[in-house]
Formats: sequence, structure tokens, C-alpha cells
Amino acid sequence: MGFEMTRRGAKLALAALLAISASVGARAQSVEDFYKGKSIDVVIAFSAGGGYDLYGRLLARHMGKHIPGNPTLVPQNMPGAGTLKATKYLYSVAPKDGTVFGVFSRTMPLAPVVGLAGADFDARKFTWLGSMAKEVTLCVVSDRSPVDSWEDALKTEFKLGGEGKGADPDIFANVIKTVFDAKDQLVTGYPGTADMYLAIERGELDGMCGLSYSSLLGRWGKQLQDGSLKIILQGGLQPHPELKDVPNMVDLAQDARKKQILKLILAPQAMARPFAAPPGVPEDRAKALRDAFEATLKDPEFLAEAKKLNVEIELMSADDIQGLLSDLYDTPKDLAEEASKDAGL
Amino acid sequence: MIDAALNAIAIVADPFRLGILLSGVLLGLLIGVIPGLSGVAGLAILIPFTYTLDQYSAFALLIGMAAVTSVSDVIPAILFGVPGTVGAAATVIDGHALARSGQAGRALGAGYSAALIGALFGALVLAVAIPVVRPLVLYLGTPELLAFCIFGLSMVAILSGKAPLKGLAAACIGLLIAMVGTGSQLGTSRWTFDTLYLWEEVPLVPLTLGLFALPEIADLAIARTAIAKEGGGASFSSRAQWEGVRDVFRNWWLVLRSSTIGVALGAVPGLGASSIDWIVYGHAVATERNGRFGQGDIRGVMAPESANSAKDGGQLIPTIAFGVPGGAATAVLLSAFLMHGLVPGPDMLTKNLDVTYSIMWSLALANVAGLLICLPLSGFVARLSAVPAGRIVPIVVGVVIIAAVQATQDWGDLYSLMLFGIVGWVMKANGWPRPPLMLGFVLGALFERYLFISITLYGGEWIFRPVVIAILALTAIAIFRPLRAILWGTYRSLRRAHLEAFTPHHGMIFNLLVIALTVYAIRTSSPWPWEDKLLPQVAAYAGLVFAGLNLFTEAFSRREDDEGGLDIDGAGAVAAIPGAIVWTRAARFFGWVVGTILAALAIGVLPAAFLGVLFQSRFEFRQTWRFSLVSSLSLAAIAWLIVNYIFMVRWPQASLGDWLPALRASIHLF
Repeated sequence: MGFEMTRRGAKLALAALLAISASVGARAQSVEDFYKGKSIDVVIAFSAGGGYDLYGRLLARHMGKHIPGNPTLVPQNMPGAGTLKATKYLYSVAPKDGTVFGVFSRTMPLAPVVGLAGADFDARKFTWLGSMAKEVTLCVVSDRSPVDSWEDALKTEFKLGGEGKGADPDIFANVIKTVFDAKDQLVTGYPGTADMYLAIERGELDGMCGLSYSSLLGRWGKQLQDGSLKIILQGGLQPHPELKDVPNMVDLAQDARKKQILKLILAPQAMARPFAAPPGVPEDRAKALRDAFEATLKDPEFLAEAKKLNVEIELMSADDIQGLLSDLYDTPKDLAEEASKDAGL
Repeated sequence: MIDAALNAIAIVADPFRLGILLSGVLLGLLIGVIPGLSGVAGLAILIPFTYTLDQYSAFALLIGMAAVTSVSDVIPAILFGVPGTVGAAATVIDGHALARSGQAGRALGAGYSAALIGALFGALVLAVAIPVVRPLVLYLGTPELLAFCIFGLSMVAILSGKAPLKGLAAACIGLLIAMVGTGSQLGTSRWTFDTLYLWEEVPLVPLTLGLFALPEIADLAIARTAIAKEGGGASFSSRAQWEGVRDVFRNWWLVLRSSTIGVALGAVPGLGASSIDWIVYGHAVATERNGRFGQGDIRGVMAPESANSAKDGGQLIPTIAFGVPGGAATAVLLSAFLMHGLVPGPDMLTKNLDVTYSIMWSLALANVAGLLICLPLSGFVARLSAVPAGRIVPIVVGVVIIAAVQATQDWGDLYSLMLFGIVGWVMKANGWPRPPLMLGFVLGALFERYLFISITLYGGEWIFRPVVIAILALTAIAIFRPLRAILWGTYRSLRRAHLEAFTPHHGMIFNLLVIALTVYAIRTSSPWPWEDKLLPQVAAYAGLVFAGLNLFTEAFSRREDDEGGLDIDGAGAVAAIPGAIVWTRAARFFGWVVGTILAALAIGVLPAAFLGVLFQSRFEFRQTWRFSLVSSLSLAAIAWLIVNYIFMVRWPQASLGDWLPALRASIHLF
């Protein structure tokens, strides 16, 4: 008897739900109508507390007022599988109606090109919003290490820290060894860059690679100033304007092929904080999100908070990301394979 | 230095900041009580609120919140056997046993006051250590960190109690579970079964809840009495908790030792709450005389609780001095430092010394406030242990399911909960101690990382470093007696073994499953490169040996009655009930759990939890419709409020939402 009642109740409830959802989807809406009173999930592919989280939450606090209808932006941390989890969620699971976008690791867009296991998506199809910053990747050594310059690194043996396969410190420690025959030994397995720095300070390691300039300044600016840490190498499609004297990997490459490989490996640094919505978001809403993204990055209030948080802001537009990606997705297969091998992937 | 400390208390004692601190404390107590929510999540939602605050107020809020989760997390641990945070898992063993014998009030009193003493001790060490800590921490290279891991793992010998072979085999299984995910050296996918869920590691929260919480609730559902059994001399007068407070002062030496270990291990990067509480529990078992550990020994509550609070002070030491977070919560705290323009390192000990000391005072004051709030409530809270099982069980099952899924918001969390819940219950029923499995799990991955770094850097010489030798010697002393007992006991059982004594019993089925698992692990890990298979294979072979020896001695050795040792993880509440009834009721209980989880896949976690609680309460435990509806609705409403509106976290996506995307988008439930 109780069972009968609940089943009838369930049918009624279901009918009601169907009616509601049908009415919501039926009529055509302006972008403003659509977003009014809604919330947008900002999926952050990292756990709380890191750099990407900082960027994601900063954006979420300011972008709502630049989107027609002023939706509420709700940050959602979705860490896992080296950000592959969130990337694939955005690519194929998340609603494609413009109520979700997110940020994932800068290496994700190229993961299918270099053949990362499990990266079965095409990053060109994302509805790109843009990137909040550009980065260069750096190698630093301590003043107690036998290596004091890039020239030394090619002659003298030294130890660099790593976190595990595929992490930036590991990738670039591998790249300088395979591409330039640097004499570094990779000691991998450290839980994070802070642990590596501690190991450097106590003399276990000589240095580390794969650090971005902004996080280096934020955490170890003092050590850079007093000379206990020294930048010996940078890697970026363009050198960092403040680091004119530091050799750049791209310029050091001996032949055209190595240059190509380095460009592939370094391209992610150009779109260091990449934000994208799922593929197939309706064009009017996609445009609204893109415009809002760019407007937010120029918003004085936003920039003031970014400055307070020591966060560097430099827009890379959605179009530029699309352009870069379509170039890189045409990389010949053998070249991509070689790059992947050089990076130790 | 003392000037700075006094100056800092004047800063923190400002009424506005005290108010901020207090609101942090209230939120922290709430987060601690609710299983599945941790200080990390609390910090993430609080940090944006601190942008407009000055540095001192900001850290009063954050520290106030983070510090007291380890005070209130004992409440569900003691009452229901459900640890409020992973740091309270060891408290379940004796705390819940005390609640079952009607002494919940005493256990709570002891838990709170031990936590306060531990926290004050931790804050004191932080204050004293800060000026001198840098050279000290620089002494700890990776080999030293590895030695600490070995010290922690050695506690397995003690935590196995009177079932040493089972304990050692369980620890190996724990190590194997820790190896699941991407290999730390060459990135081999180890037992990930092509899922993203297992890519990094098995999440801690569903495993802890499965292994410890579900079996306790299952036993409660099987026994069908109140938690505190009738006639157990239950006393819920407000005096009971004072008894617990007095216990703590009577055992001040143990509390002090536990706090010291808590601070010291807290300062070791990587060792978090989940391992420290077990290590300290093992220390108490090994060093305290006339223990009834596992059966409701009050010292089994105060040791882990004092250490769990003391570790907060310890974890802040490397965070402040080096910017190396000691644990997950301090990692988030670290980002708050940077946001407020504070760079960890020498500056925190000179230019920003007042901030450092204000953090120390916030830590101390928050814990005092936490105690003052919790202690008067504990008489009332303890009364919950007199509520009949039929009213409690469905609600707690609902809470545990909702809690488990907060780990990664992935269906995998519910599968882990279910799997480890059943494994945990079977282990408990067959006398397989669970703490060694937990310890192997929480230390395994760290052990592997530090082992490879040490060997890469120093070869075999890592072991000859002075601090390493000291720690390993300490380890040897700590486990000498239990280890001798294990070897001697195994030798005696082997000698007594005789073919004619062969006695099969159903407990062997699980033993055979453990053996099968180790064999499977050996076979499947063989093709991996050696860097990534070394530890999995060692653990699997060792597990095979221990489980095999255990099977052999149990099958062929005549039992003697004089076998001593502690039953650290015994059968507890269901011991007096006939076996057949136990198994049917257990099957029904897990049937409800599995049913709720399956329903969750279809209609979403929260609706399924609501229906699960409602129906289990009404049909399994014959409560009135009125009670069943009120309890299930309140649970669902509170969970909805907390998850959807305070933490603003999304539920895993159920089929119903795929079918009705518009509804999903508007109510965010499935």
C-alpha cells in the first residue's frame, strides 16, 4: 500500500518536473534573459590554494558584472588526474549552454598533440575565452651550487629537483638535458616546489626548473635579490621583458628542428592561465563570455585587486589561442613524438 | 622576543579581532563535527572574506577556524564511531568503545581537554621554536624524513595487537592501496583500471569512513540497542565530562608525550593528521601499563586527541619558517600568507614577528574558546548515545554517504566507501586489525617518494646520517618488544602446527582473499619498470608471506588459551549475538547502503540519501512515518544548505540530471 502511494507520487512529481523543464527550454532568449538570476560554474582543475585557484577565484569575483544579466560566478575546485579530469569534464560532460567554463593546466591544450595517455580530446573545439597571463619558465640554481650560469650547466654536473613525470620541473629538467646536453641529474619525487626549495637551501639539490617568473618573484623574490638564487635560463616563445640578460631556450637551439620542438614544448607558457567553455556554446553567449572576460581583465577594480594579490595579468585573446592551437595541431607526428620523448613524457 | 609576544597578544585581544576569531571558532567547530568537511574546505571559503581585513584579523579568522576542527571532530567519533575529520580516526577505537559502555561524557571531556593541552603545548613550542627553528629544520634532509616514515610504519607492529601476522598483512595491503595511481618515479599507471578517479591516489576520506565508520554503524544496526547498552551504568550527568578532564590530569605524562610527538611529527612535511593520530595511539599502547586499549581505555582517547591538536603548532613551523606546508590545511594557509603580502621565511622571524606571534596567540585562544563552547554541551551531546539504534543508524548512514562524496565529488568516492565499508566490517568480524592497514595507506606514498630521493642522492649511505641513525635507533627500541613477541609467537605456532590439527573455519575465506589479492598484485605489477614496481612488489610479497603464515598457523596450530596481547580492534558490540543473525543483519545493513548508493546514481546523492534514510528508518527499523520523515527531511535540508549554499559545491551528476538538464541547472542536486 505504501509502495503504491509512493509510486503514484513519483509519477506525479516526474510529470511536474518534465513540464517545468520543457517550459524552460522552449522559448528563444536574449543573452541577458538567459543569464539573469542564473549562476555560472567556474571549474578550477586544481585544489584550493594554488596559483590557478587564485586566478580562477579572482576572475569569478569580478566577471559577473560584465556579463549581460549579471549571473553569479561560483568557483568549483575539481582537481584530479593532472587536471585531465576537469578538462574532460569541460570537453564532454559539462552543459554546453554557457553556464559552465573553467581553467585547466596550460599543458592540457597540447596534451593530445604530444600523445599524453587519456587525452582523447581536441582542444581546438573548446569555446575559448582567453588566457589571463603569459609566463616564461625558468631554471634557478642556488649560490652554493657548482653551477652559476648556463655555460656551467653544460659542463658541470648538477642536481635538479622534480615532482614526478609530466610535471613542469621534470619536463624542463629533461628538456635541457636531451636538447642541449646539459649535465643535470633529475632527482624526482618531491611533493612540491616548496619542498624542492627547502632541499636546495639545505644543499640536497642545486636547483630547479619549470618555475614561472611570477611565482618565483612571489615566493623567493628576496632570495633572487640577495643572490642566493640565480636564474640561469628562461623558456618562452618571447623572453620576459625583465629578464633580458638571461638566455632563452628558443634562441639557444642549434637547428631548425630543435627550435620547432622547443616551440611546441614552450607554447603553453604563452597561454599560462587558459580559460575555456565546453565546445558548442551558442555563439551569442560565447561572444558575451569572451567580451566579459576581456572587459574584466581591463576593469580597474579587478586590476587593483590583482595587484594587491601579486598576480600578473596579461590577456591572450581567444582568437590568439585558437590561432596558436591550429598551428600546433598541424605539427608533424614524428616531430611531436620527438618532443614528447625529449620532455620525458 | 618576549616583547614581541606580549605586543602580539595586545593586538589579538582587540575586541574586533576577538569577535572575528570567535566566528572562525564557531565555523570550525561546525566543520569538525560534520564528517567529510575539513579545515581545508573551510579555509578555501573563508580566504576571500579576509581580503578586506588586516593581517592580524585575517589570521585570527583563518587560524580560529582551522584550529578547532580537531576539537569538535571527536564528537561524532566517540558517539557514532564516525570520525569528524581524518585526524579523529584513532579516537574511534577507544572513544566509541567508551560510549558503548555508557561513558560518552567522560570520553568527550577527556578528548576536549587533551586537545586543549595539546594545542597549548603546540602553540608554546611554536613560540619558542620560531627564533631558532631554521637551522633545526635545515638538518632534516630527505633521508631524515624517510626515517620518520619508517618510524611511523614501525607502529604497525604495535597496532596489530594480538593478531600480529594479520596486522602485518593488513599493513601490506594498506601499502598496496597507497601505490594505486601514477608512479612517483616513472609515471606508470598502477592499478588505475583506466579510470581518472584512481589516477592520482585513492582519496583518504571515503577510505577512512568506509574502514572505520561504516563497520561501527553496521554493528550498531546489528546489535539493535542504543549505542550505550542498557544496564551499562550509563551516566549522562554533567559531571561525567569532568571525570574525563580529571583523567587527563591524572595522565599528564602521557598527554605531554603525545603532544610532543604530535608537534614533532607535525613539523615533518607530509606527515599529516591521518598518520600522526595512529602513531601516537601506537605509542600509548606500547608504553602504558595495564592498558585495555581497544576495549575502551580513556588513554586511547587522550593520546591521539592531544597529538592531533598539538600538530597544528608543529605544522605551522615549516610553513612560517620556510613556506613549506606541513599539511593540506597549512598549504591553503600558505596561499593566504602570500595574498596578505607575507612571504614565509626569515622575514616572518624579524620584520613580521608580530604577525607570527599573533598567529600563535590565535591558535591558543581559539582552542580555549573551543573547549569553553564544547565542554558545557557535552552532557547534552553524550545523551545521544542513549538514543535507540533504530533512530540513529539511518541518519548516520545518510551522513556518511553525503560526507564521503565531498572528497572529490566523484562517484568513485561512493564506490570506495562501499568497498572499504564491507572490507572493514569483514576485517573487524574476523579479527583483522584495521589500524595497520590505515597506517600503511597513509604513509606508503610518502615512504616511496622519500626512499627514491634518498637513494638517488646518497645511495646506500643515506642510512648512516646521524639523525637517521638516531631515529632508526628510537624505532628499534620502540618496537623491540612487540617484534620479539611477534617472532616468538609465530615460531611457537609453527612448532605446534600439526596436520591432524587441521580445523577449517569461515574466517579463512577472507584470509584466502587477502592471499589472492597479493598474488594478483604480484602478477599485474611484474611488467612495470623496476622503479615503479619495487615498493608494490615488496609489499605484495611481504603480504603474501604474512597472510600465508597466518593461514597456516590458524589452520594447523592447536589454539592455546594463554595467548596474551591486546585485542586492539575487536568485535565489540556484536560479540554476544549469534552468528547467523549477525550475518543476516549485516547483509541487510549493507543492502541498504548499496541500495542507497545505486539510487544515488539514478536520482542524485541527496535525494537518494533522503529516501534511504526515510525508508530504512520506516521499514527496517519500524520507526513511525512521522519520525522517519522528520529525520530524513532535516538531514536533507541541512546537507542541502551546507553543500549547495555555504560551500557551494556541486553533487556528482546522476542520470536524472542527464535526462532533465534544465532542472539540473536550476536546482543543482543531481
